[in-house]
Amino acid sequence: MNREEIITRCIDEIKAGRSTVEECLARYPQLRDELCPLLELVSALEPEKVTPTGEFKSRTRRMLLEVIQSGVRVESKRRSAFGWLGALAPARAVSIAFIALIILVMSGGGAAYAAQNSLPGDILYPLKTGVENLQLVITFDPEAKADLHLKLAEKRINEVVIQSNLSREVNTSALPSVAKEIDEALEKMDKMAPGEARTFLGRLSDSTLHQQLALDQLLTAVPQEAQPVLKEMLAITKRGNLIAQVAYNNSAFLNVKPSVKDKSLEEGKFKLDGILLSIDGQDWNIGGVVITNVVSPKEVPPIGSRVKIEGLAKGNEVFISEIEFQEGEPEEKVKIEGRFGGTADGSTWYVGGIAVEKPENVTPPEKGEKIELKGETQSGSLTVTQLEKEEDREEKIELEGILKKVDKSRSLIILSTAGTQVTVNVSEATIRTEDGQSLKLADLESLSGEDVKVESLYKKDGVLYAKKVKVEVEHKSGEEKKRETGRGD
Amino acid sequence: MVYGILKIERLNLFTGDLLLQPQPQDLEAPLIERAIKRNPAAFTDLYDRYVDRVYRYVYYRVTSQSDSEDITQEVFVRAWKNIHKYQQRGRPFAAWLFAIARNLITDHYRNRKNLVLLDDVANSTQVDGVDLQKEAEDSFDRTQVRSAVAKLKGDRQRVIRLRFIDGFSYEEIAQILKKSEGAIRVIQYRALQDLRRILMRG
Repeated sequence: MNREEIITRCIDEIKAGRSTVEECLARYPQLRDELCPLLELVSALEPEKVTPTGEFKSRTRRMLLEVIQSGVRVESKRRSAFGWLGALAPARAVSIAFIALIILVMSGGGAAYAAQNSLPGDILYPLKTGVENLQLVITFDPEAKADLHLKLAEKRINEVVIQSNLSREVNTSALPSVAKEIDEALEKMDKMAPGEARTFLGRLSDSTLHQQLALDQLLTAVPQEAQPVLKEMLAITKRGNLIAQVAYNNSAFLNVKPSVKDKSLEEGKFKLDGILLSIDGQDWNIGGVVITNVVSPKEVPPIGSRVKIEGLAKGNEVFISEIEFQEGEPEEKVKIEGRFGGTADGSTWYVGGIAVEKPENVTPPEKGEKIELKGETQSGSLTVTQLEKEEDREEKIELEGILKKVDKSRSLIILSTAGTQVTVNVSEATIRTEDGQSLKLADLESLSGEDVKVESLYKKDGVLYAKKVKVEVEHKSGEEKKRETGRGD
Repeated sequence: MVYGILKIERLNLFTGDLLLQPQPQDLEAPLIERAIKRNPAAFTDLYDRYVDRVYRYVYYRVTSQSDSEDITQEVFVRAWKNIHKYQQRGRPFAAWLFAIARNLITDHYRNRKNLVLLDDVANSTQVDGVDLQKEAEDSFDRTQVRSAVAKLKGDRQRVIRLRFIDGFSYEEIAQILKKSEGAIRVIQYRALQDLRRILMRG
């Protein structure tokens, strides 16, 4: 780096808050005489950071929505001349919406404006939801409508956050509609163009992650009696995130009409690592584990290659969301991860919705427990040699994605998941490989492109932190790994 | 009460604080496209992204919280009404919002010109809790630096203004000035050297 580049870099780092003047001077003492006056100059040039208050931002946001709602025009590319009549079908919603419309007209919009600040339990709250229904009725474009449903789900959770912060009694009566809103948003997806649908799934993934973080934070602040409903909402938003992740990589999953109310959804999530022994139609044999009715988003890997797949078993089908494969890997080791789904016929175990031959001399875990079976392929079938249970059974917020970037100076990593980028502060996290080997943040710099799982996520002062980072380091032997489909693609 | 408001600001995950970090520019183009098609959710997302920058832009020019708030609100109302006129190619969205803000600030000064003469602030150094005298002292150096900026030539002056006063990124400045990001870094370096020489000469 030449002198000009060093100075520019120092200026950029100081401007972005990544370094201080002292740190830069310590790093390049030979440039002290030139750097010092220039950095002082930059700090004199930059005005003090002023920020608008949160109250102003919320007020303006509400006012903008009022303006938008008062003259909303929506995309008309798919609307036929009488298409809007179909949207009027849900009679109850329409009647509430029209009552809201009448009040809106009679009050000149004032009551509706006031109602926007209302919270569940307030007198004006039904007017607020009535205006929302009206907004839904007059929004025709599937993507705009799905977005609106998602926003309403966020709004319901946010209302409880506000009640809690104002030390008001927490009224969770409106929360059950979160599931309905997310499901209705998902229903609109079959009317979207493929590109729009993927973009929406990215937003769903991002939104449901933040919903989980908000609910998790709320759980520590609300009284005991409000906790069951919040825990249920947390499970619902987790399912929303899972649906977004799987459907983003395998759009066929949407054909089974996944619902966030489906409590069996998480039980079907699995990871399987082994040699692809055979493929017979839609039935795959990986390391002696036969998976039937596989729906793969891309071409299948060659027989004999080592494959690592992730997906979701739902109904009679298995939807693959990610495939990695390596050719020329001689190891016979097999690994399967998922929740224990119970036994069948005394000889079969279900792990993440996948049927596995019951291991010998192993006590079955509890149903729903997260487990990992390790074994070897012998004569075309799996022999389990090890059962590992997840030690910490407490439900934590986690996210998987592809490592895109590491910012060592600010202890940040950027993951790509369902087409969106998520920045996580890992200054307080332990970083390990899948095999438990401890890593430093600097080690991650060379692991860009690898799968990363960030666990025990929480938000502090608007920043997302993780307590654990788990990196799936690729196998050291064999040819270069190929990714057929991935979260960040 | 104030405590309650501050807490909401921190926890209000679905308004201004939803985004963890500024999102990459490539994610913004589809958002703008949807906003142009009158998608309310997309427009409010843009509002969340830009409200801080617009407010800051206005505040530095009117230095009053209430006026800055009024003007910032109006910027976004006008942006929504005119978003169909925005063309993505060649101009960052922030620059378009700032242009709206600039017009409103000009109107604001035009309307206030006579009112300022009537304001009796000469006998008071405390207005809305702000010590005007201290603020004047603090801003002295800055004023000196700013007047030095005015002596810079052409693109050098524009880059310094865009980068340090208006807070644009290299990518955005490159788009505005139709140059590469590398070229902008070079201009910035040379402009800072010029500025240093101007200030040394006094």
